[in-house]
Amino acid sequence: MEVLIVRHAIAVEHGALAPGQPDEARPLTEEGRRRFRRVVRGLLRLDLRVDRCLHSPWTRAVETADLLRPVIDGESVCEPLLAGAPGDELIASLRGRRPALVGHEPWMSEMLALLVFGDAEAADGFGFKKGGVAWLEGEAKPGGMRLLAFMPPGVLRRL
Amino acid sequence: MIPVEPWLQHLRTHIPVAERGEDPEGVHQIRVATRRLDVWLELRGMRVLRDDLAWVRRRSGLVRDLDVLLLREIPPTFSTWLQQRRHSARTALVRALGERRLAGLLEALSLLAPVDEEQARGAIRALLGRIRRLDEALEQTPDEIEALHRVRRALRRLRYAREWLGGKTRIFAELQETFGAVGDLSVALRLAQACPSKRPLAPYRKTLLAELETARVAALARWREVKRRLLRGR
Repeated sequence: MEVLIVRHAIAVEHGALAPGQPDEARPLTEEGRRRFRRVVRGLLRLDLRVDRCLHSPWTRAVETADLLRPVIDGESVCEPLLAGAPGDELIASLRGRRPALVGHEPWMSEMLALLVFGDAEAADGFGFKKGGVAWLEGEAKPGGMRLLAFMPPGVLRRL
Repeated sequence: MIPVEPWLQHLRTHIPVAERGEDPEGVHQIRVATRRLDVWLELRGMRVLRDDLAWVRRRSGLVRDLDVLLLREIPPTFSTWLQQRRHSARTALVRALGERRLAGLLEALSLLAPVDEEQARGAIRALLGRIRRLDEALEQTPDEIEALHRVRRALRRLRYAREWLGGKTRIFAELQETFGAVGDLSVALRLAQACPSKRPLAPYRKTLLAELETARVAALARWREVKRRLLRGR
């Protein structure tokens, strides 16, 4: 199995939200949308299509998953476990040939570290940029995958 | 601005009703709410979350179809088979209603900003265009029931879209009743064809086919009467 781990695109700052709106409701900025569309074009050029997309229920991840639609050949699934620290249950939800996960930091780095090193705490200093993508291959279990590429958004936009 | 809240709340309210299973209206209202929320997402120009809504709708839809059919006068062997299917469909629905995917969907919908009315009007124009194209296809093959179903489903979406914008939809509701008979009879026929008791059900299937043909002709005639008025572009 291959897995794409995607950090959500650039969202508005918390202070820009209407009073009473929770942090979870932060949408993407216009610039964030524009840039992430180019990231998606880069994924298409690499033919990195996915057969399932799991995304967090928070708005910035939902909107990022929506922009990702051109590379999604199967269904999208709202997965609340992506709005929290990763664990066995989230790993068990990885099915298909190449699913994508769209979520938040620090949890996306922790998921990457968990799948590659078997230890979520090894994620320190990964520097997973907004709109960045990690590409993994192997068995969906802690320490069962190897990292094929860790692609900053700027690189994908230039492809 | 068009907030999601009224129909999201409607969905939330009917989930426990459907789980308890005492009132079939709970399941019916889940299907109605998920259809309307799906249209709200289309007005917003979003594709994700619609798969999650479709997942809930498939599970509630099967139970609802069986509930409706079991209210009809049907042969006993068919009724027994339908009740068994309803039992397993209901088990699958109750399981789905307890899954974290549904909790995530409700949370995600509750966080989304209201739809801009101008954007919604643009989506309605696109829907009108889709119905015009489906109508052209229907007129090329007027005897094909699938072509009629496609128009029926698209019209329902247009009705819901207009209702999100506070528009009047009396004629749509009336038309949906006429089309609804075609939908119900098609479901009944599909299930009767799937039922393992082939020979005892042959006369019933024949009756259903005749009723479906009558309903199809009536729906097509009514559609031809009103379509010009309904498809006026705005």
